[in-house]
Formats: sequence, C-alpha cells, structure tokens
Amino acid sequence: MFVQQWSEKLTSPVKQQYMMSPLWTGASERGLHWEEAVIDRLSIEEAVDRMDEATTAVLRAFYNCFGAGPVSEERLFSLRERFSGAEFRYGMIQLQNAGIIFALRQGWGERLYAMPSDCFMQWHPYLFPLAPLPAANRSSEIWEQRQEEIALKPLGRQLLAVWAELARSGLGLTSKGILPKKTTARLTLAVSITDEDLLQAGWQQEDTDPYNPAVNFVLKLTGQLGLLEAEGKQLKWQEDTLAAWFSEEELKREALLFHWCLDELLKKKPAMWHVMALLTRLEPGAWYSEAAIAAQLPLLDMKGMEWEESRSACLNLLRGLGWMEFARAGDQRMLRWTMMPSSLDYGQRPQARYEPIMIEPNGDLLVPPGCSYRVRWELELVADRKSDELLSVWQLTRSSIERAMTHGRSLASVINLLQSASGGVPIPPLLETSLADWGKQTAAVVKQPSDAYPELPLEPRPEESGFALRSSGRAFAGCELMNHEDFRIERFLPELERVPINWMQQLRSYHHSTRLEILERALSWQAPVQLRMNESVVAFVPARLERSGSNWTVTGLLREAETHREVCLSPEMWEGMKLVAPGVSGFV
Amino acid sequence: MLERQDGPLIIQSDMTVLLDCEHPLSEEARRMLILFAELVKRPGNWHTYKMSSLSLWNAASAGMDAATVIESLRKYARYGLPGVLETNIRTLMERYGKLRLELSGNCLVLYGDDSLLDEIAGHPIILECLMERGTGGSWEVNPEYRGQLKQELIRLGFPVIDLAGYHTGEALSVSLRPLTLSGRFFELRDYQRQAVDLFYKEGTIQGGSGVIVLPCGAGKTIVGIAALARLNSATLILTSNATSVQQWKEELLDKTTLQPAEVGEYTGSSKEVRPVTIATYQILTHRKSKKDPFRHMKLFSERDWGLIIYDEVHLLPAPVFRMTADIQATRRLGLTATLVREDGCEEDVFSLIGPKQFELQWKTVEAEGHIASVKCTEIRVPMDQGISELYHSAEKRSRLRLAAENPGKVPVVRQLLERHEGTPTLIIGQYLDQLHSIADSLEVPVITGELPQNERHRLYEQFKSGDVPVLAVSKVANFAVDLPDAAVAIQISGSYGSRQEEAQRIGRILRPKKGRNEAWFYTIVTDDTSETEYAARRQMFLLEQGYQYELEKHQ
Repeated sequence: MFVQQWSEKLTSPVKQQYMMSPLWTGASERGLHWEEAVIDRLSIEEAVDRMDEATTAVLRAFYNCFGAGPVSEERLFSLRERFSGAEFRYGMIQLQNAGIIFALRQGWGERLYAMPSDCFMQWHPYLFPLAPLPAANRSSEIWEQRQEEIALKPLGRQLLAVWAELARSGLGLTSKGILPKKTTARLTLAVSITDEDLLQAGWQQEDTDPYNPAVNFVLKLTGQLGLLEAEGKQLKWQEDTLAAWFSEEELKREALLFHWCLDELLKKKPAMWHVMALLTRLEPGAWYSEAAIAAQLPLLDMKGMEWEESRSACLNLLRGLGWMEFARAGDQRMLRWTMMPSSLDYGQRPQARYEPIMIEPNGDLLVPPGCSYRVRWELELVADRKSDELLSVWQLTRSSIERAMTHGRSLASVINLLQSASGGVPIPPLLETSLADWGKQTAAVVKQPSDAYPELPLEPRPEESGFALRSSGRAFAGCELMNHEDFRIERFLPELERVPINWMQQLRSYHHSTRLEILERALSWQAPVQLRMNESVVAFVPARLERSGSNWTVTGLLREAETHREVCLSPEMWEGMKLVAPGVSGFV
Repeated sequence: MLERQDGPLIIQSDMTVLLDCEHPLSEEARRMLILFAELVKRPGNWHTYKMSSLSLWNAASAGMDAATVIESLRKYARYGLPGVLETNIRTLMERYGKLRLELSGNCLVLYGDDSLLDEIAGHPIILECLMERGTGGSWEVNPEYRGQLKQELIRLGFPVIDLAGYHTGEALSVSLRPLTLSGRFFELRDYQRQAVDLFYKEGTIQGGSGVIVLPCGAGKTIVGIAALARLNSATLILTSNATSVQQWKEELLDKTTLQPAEVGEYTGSSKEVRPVTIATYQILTHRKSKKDPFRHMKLFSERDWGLIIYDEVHLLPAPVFRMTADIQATRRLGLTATLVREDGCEEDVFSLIGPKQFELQWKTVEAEGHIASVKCTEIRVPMDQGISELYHSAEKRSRLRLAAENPGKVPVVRQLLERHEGTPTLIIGQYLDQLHSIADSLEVPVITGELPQNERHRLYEQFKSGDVPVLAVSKVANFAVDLPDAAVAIQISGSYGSRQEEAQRIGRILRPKKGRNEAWFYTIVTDDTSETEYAARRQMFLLEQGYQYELEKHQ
C-alpha cells in the first residue's frame, strides 16, 4: 500500500503524534506533514542520522525481508543478529512511533510489520549508503544495440494503446462476464510487455484468470486506475477518471505506474526490491555497466538473496515496461534509464513542453513525443495508427472517419481536434475537402451512434489534477492496523518497577547470586548487560544459563568494539556489571 | 532520455527519417540524407526518407562509411539517434566490401575473410556456384554463376563488389550531334554528363554497371544515349512499351550519328536485330504457354552487346532478371525515376544491374528549370440535374461511370480552354464515349486505341507543330508519349484510383516550357459522388511525390 492509502487509515492526531518523534525534528520544524516527511529525501536523511544503531538495524532487517506486503515479527527478529531482543524491540518502537513502520495483527493474532511501499526506494540510499557508480563513457568505444535491447513503449503508452483498442472493439462482455476472444486477441497485440517478463517478475496468474498474463495485467491495472467498471453485461468508461489520468504529466503517470508495478509484482521478492532500489540510484539517461551493478549488490549485505536471477528479472521487466534500454560494449551489457519513473517529487520538475502535431495534406498526422495523451487518445479514435515510434504517425482515412462517426464523433469535433492539436495551423485544403466528403457520406448512413466513444475535453480541467493510483492492498487482506496500541518499551520489560534501580544505573561488582539474578532478569527481558572485564566495559547479550550444582555459567554474545562472538562465561570472569533496559536506562 | 535539440531530422529506430522542410537547415540536411536514404514520400512540409541495406550499400559504393553516415545524422537530429539504428548502420555498411569478385588470370575468384567464406559456403545454393577453394581467403567461382552468386549473397546480406570486369562487345562508331537532325542545338546538361561519367568511370572495372535515378522529364533517355555514345559498342535497349521504343529510336536518330539502318526495333510487330536494338520487356517475356520457353530471350545473345540499357528498371520483370544473371560480363545501365519496386525486388536490381551511380532530386531539376513547374487543381462540379436521379438509383459501379461522364463537366472544359487559349492542351479521359462526345462538342481531334498508329503519329506531329492546339486522348497517351509543348492537361475521367496513372498523365506536361516554364494539370470531378473518393486516391500518390493540389468548386 502507498503512503496515501496508509494516510487514509490514520487519524490526524496519530499523524501529528508521529511528527513529535525525535526522528522527525527537522521535518517538523520545516512544517512538513507525516505524508510529506516519509518521502522527503532531506527528512529521511535526517531521520536516519538520528536513529540509534538498534533502530537502524531493525529497519535494515525489515528491508531484508521487504516484499510489498507485511513481514512477520518472527522473521524480523530472526535477523536481529548481534542485538538483543529488547534493543531490537526498542528500535521497532522508535520506528512505529515515527510512523515509519506499522504494526498489524492478523486474524489468528500473528504480529506483522509493514511500510508504505512507495517509501522503500526513498529510504534505501540512506540505509545502505554506497559510493555512486560512475557512468560509462560512451564515446570511448563502439557500442552495439540490437532490437531486443531497446526499450519498449512506456507503460502509459501501452495502456493507451490497449484502451484505444478496447474502445474500438467495444466493451461488451460474454455470458461468462469476460471480454470476447476477438477483443482479447486485439489487446494482446496492443500490449508490448510479454507474458514471460511479467511471470518472471512475479506476476501471480491464477488458474481461473480468463486472459493471458499480459492482458490480465493491463486489465487489472486499468481496473485499479478506476477507468472501467462493469455494468451488467458490459464495461463502462469512467470518463472523469480517464480525463484526470490524461491530465497528469507523463513522468508522473509513469511514476505512479512504476510504484504500482513494484507493489503488485514484487510481492515477497526482497532481492528484486533491492535491485530496483540500486537501479534507481543511477542517473537517468547515463549508461552503466551491468557488471558494476552486479558487483554492488553483495555490498548491501543482505541475507539469502538470489541476486543474479533477481537482477535479470528486474532488467527485463523495466525494459518491457519501457523505462530501460540495453546495449553492448564488447562483451559487457550496458544499461540506462530512458526515463526515471521512480521519483516522487513531481512538483519540482519543470513542466514538460507541449509539442503540436503536424498535419500533412495526405492525411498523415505526425505526432511528436511531447504531444499530450488526450490528443493521442482522440487520434486513436478518429485516425489509424501507422507507427508508434519516437514520432508516431496516424492517418486520417475515410474508414477511420466513418468509424469515429459511427461511435458518436462529429466532423466538427475532428476538425476541432486537428486545429487544437496542431496549435491552430490551418488544415491543408485538400484534406479538409476529403474530410468534408467522408463526413457527408458517413452522416448520410449513420443515423444513431452506437457504443459512443468516451469524449474528453481537449484541455485539462483544473479540478483534474492530483490523480492518485492505489495499490490493490491484497497483501494486507485480513490484517488489522494496530495504531492505537501502547508503543512504549516498558510494556516489553515486565516487572520493571520491581527491579532495583541500581542494577540499571550503576556498574558494580555484585555477589555471584545477584549476578545470577541480574542475568535472569536480562534473559526474561531479552536485554543486554554491560560487563567490566579486564578493565574494559563490554556488552553482553545472554542467551542461556547453565547450572551445575551451585556453579553456573552463562552463554551469550559478547560485543566488543568491532566484533561480536559467542562466549560462555562464569561469574568470576567479570569484575562489574549493569543491566541495560533499552530506552529506560540508556544504551550499551 | 529524450533530449531535444533544434535539428530538422526526426530519426526513428526503424530506419525512417523525417525531414522538416521548414527548418532553416533542411536543405543542407536533405543534401546529406539523399546520399544514403531513399525518399519515400513528401506530401507536405515533412518528407519521409528510409534507409535500407541497399541505400546504405549504395552509399558505401559511393565511398561513404558508417561513421560519416552516423555523424551526419547526429548533426541534424532533433531527438538524437537511436542506438539500435547506429548499430544497424554500422553492421550493414561494414558488410560492404567484405566480398569481392575479381579475375585472377582467366579464373573468376571470390575474395573475402576465410571465416566469412566458411560461413557463406554453409549455404548449399552458394556452394553450388563455387569451385576450387584457394588459399588466403579466395574461392574460385564458376563463371556461369557470377550473377546467381551475387544475387544469393545479397539475399544473405552480403553485397559483393564485382571487379571482374566486362568484355567490350561489338564496336560501334557513334557520337552525339551538337546540332540535332531536327535542327536544334544539343548538349548534355551538367547533371546528365555527371551521371554518365559516374556510370562510365573512365571505362574502368569500377564503373560499367549501375543505376541512374532521375525524375520524370529530366532526360533519362538522353543519359542512356550518352552512355551508349561513350562506350561505342553495340547496345541492347529494353523498355516498357512500343511507344517508348519509337521514342528511343527517334531520339537516337535525332541526337546521334547513328543511321536508321543501325537502329532496330524488336517488338510484337517488328523483329530487327541491329547494332542498336530496342526491345520491350513484354516481347522478351512473351511465350505461347507457361510451359514454353521464352524464345525471344535469345536476343541477349544474338549480337555481341557491349551495353544493355534497362529503361524503367523498376518495372524489369523476373524472367529478364534471370537472363541478366547470365550476362554479368556485359556492361549494364539501369534508368529509373524510383528505386522502389512494387514487387520488392530492389536487391536483384542492386546485385544484377548494379548499385545506384547517380540520383537527382525532382525539386532540384525543377528549380534548375529542366522540368516545368506544375500547378494541379481539382475542380468539383455538381452532378448534372438530368442524370442526378439516375445516379442515385444506380449500382455502385455504374454510379462511378455516371459521375465520371457527368455532362456538367463539358462547360468547365470549355472555360479551361478559354483560360489557356493558345497553350497546347491535352484533354485526357478514361471512357471513349465521353471522349468522343466532348471532342465533338469542342471540335477537337481524338486519339484512342482504335486509331491506327500512323494516324496517331500524324496527330501527335500536328500537335507538336501547333497546328492542332487541343488534343483529346485516351489512356493510350499515358505512357512515354513525348509531347514536349503540352502545357495544360485536363483530366475528365480516370480509372479506379490508379496512382501510377495520375503520375503518368502529369508526366505528359513536365517537359520544360518556353517563358515561365509553367504547366497546369486539372482534374474534373463530380461533387458529392464516389468519383471524389477515387480522385482522392489517385491524387494521394502525387501529393506524396510533392505536388501541391488546389481545389476549385463550380456551382
């Protein structure tokens, strides 16, 4: 789920409370709200800087198992490594109190943790700082690029082609409530990404799904966007939503789709999330060697990752979705972003320049890359697409005009479209005459338009800004958000008030029996102790006590300055000790 | 990442290049582009060019390399150069020159890297053409398969540079006349001389075969004649139809020192084989039944030809290609206005006739005044009241005919004749009844297929001399009829949207004119009928060739 969706589940006082966390001091001073702070790079950097070691460790452990959906507490704790349970718990509470991760409860009581999935990429560079990769020098050698290496159409353009095909084919459903096979076949041709790329990336195809994975994927995405709704035996366009979608800047649309795809496809695929995160650190447009990226992945120090397979799946997916392309320099594969869809700072980018279409006297309409999607959509409905390259070409023909008029367009609306899209350049007279002829001939035949195409205004309306794409949230089905829970560490330190205060305040030499008592308390809290051994103070996380008559030993993790190791200690081996209650009596 | 710069070219990854003709650098970019890309269409301000393996190999044959092509494109690109395109250009152009055919003593030898020779020999059809493998990247070739080998290798994507040379053929003394038999001064235009030089290449093995691309009316025949005069050898000229045979003959006799006895016609009606013989593709490919051999193909070996000229090479039929594959030691000149073939056999033209040696753009020829500037107008007239009811109740096919023969067109033709009084005018029609009727009412002579050749010839001559200022003609005049002074063409009816037909008809008035060098092409169409649709389809081709159309409506 995305920040926006989490925000809707949280009350204002809760969000205000989050901003009181010391982690958000800077963001709070800048007047940011929680929804802004959690994706604001500066605020994230400050928050990570302010985190204690245990809190950072919790977040890194959380990243180790991140897969869009929630992560079980058990799994998280299994990754705590050198930290004691109490320290880890304390870190978790810090993150919960700042609204960075959320606690959830499943029906049978299992405790889970989650993070807004659009936060993942934003936080990654601060949690896993790595030296930036240098871009490759393109001019130094001859590169090769094959057809199978160039980026396909960006996903937004693929969707547009699919929707146009749907509009042209009709929205009627069969008695089974699905699209007819003929329509599905056309949609398959309209979508560029392959079934294989989607399945490799993690698309979950159900046996009962009536369409192939690629069509299934775009139809589910279309539904998620709220563009089509079923009404009886047919689908119906939600015209306002469609208009709002087309009003967005191309890069914002692609960014929404990027985050949606990650959320929907990479479920339980932590390695792929990390690969994606590393890739999004690259400069858009610059070329990088894939080998250099492969070499960076192990530096993230994650457990149990299939880096090679994940890297390949991510790259194929990104190419299929039109955001990345490859080339070869000798035996090395190179890659680059053709556009950077991961960025969430939409407002800070300069407005893209609109480029008008060019109308040729033979009816060819040349459409440059900067042409709006509203115009492209309308062209799909009134003209025939001849090519969809960098410069796309549509052609007005008698049959395209006939088709448009049969579906409710008028000749006047076509002429209005051409004039508006070309920036007011007059339509070549011969084409105008042909349009008039075709229009006249068709109007004589078409009496009642059937299956009218959705008609959107060519100019965006001001109220259409701010489209928010929602995740399906399926991974969170049956989970309850525990945002009213008491997130204080004291809850996890039973009988805290009955523990002698000196145990936690002074590092003293105790009698062996007291040493045992302190260790028993530490074990029940899963807390560490400080030990003075050989004139230096070290941290020790006890794991178990072993008694033999009146003698006893304790086994646990001894943490020294740079290392930690498992040791077995007998009480005479340390001179002094102190019980540490994380967050109450300070830290180790 | 899409970075926009202010260039006139939009370069697509499918090898298409669009040129913005309103851009200040467009002319500069166009001059560069035509060196390695073919013009596909130019309907308005955006002209579409396409690069292909052949266009790039043509460029390579003219001495360009991939880096130059890539740099030139990059210089003028509006959105940069797709990487895949760069790779394609490099891959294709680097193949040119990897294989060479040369003579070593009396043996024909294919030279290339051993690894490449291994690769091509893996194809049985190639292996069939090869004999003994030599050392150091050489392989002896069966001379009988010289053409077939080149044809097959180009299909595999490997063009062969053929440096095996030619035999000289039967000598023939011929030169160009500075003063034609008809008494006009004659000399080659600069571009015609340049085209011949590039074909001839000082008589070396680097020249002697290839294609010259000139727009209609730019004097392709003259280039052919000049090549013949340069080589001084017996020549076989193959062209598209009998009228064209006549015109070649007339031009040869008018502009060279050849005597009538030295020029033969080889057509359906005449079978003369002389030092210069002009034949049609049709007669060469004529046979009684599909099982019979092409017996007229023997013409290729009936004399020791030193040169074969393929006029309208884009129309060259498949059996002639097969024959041409067997005569690769004879010099070959292809003449055409376009390298694009409807049957997609461009590769055969490249491998069997030769690479493009010279091309001149239509706009350049027009700008230099070598062809007339043509103003095209479609005139819409309403349906005559008398047949309107009949039209609406008729079948679809009958409707078109009724619309085409609309009597309402006659007054418009009359007005046009008045508008252009004194200017030689052709009235062109599809339907003989209509032509006869209009000719009767306007009192002008008619040429149709029914008229004997000598009668036609007489009327053409009278038209040329100005005695007959207006001539009504059927489709017999579509092809290669030279009426240099015709400056107005009025098309009263056309066929079912044939794109070629409109171009051929307009070709009749392209010859340069005295004075303002202008010509007018009118097409009269009945408004609100299906004729407008067919007319639009015909005009599409001309629009894409760069002609501008205007519209006039008559009420």
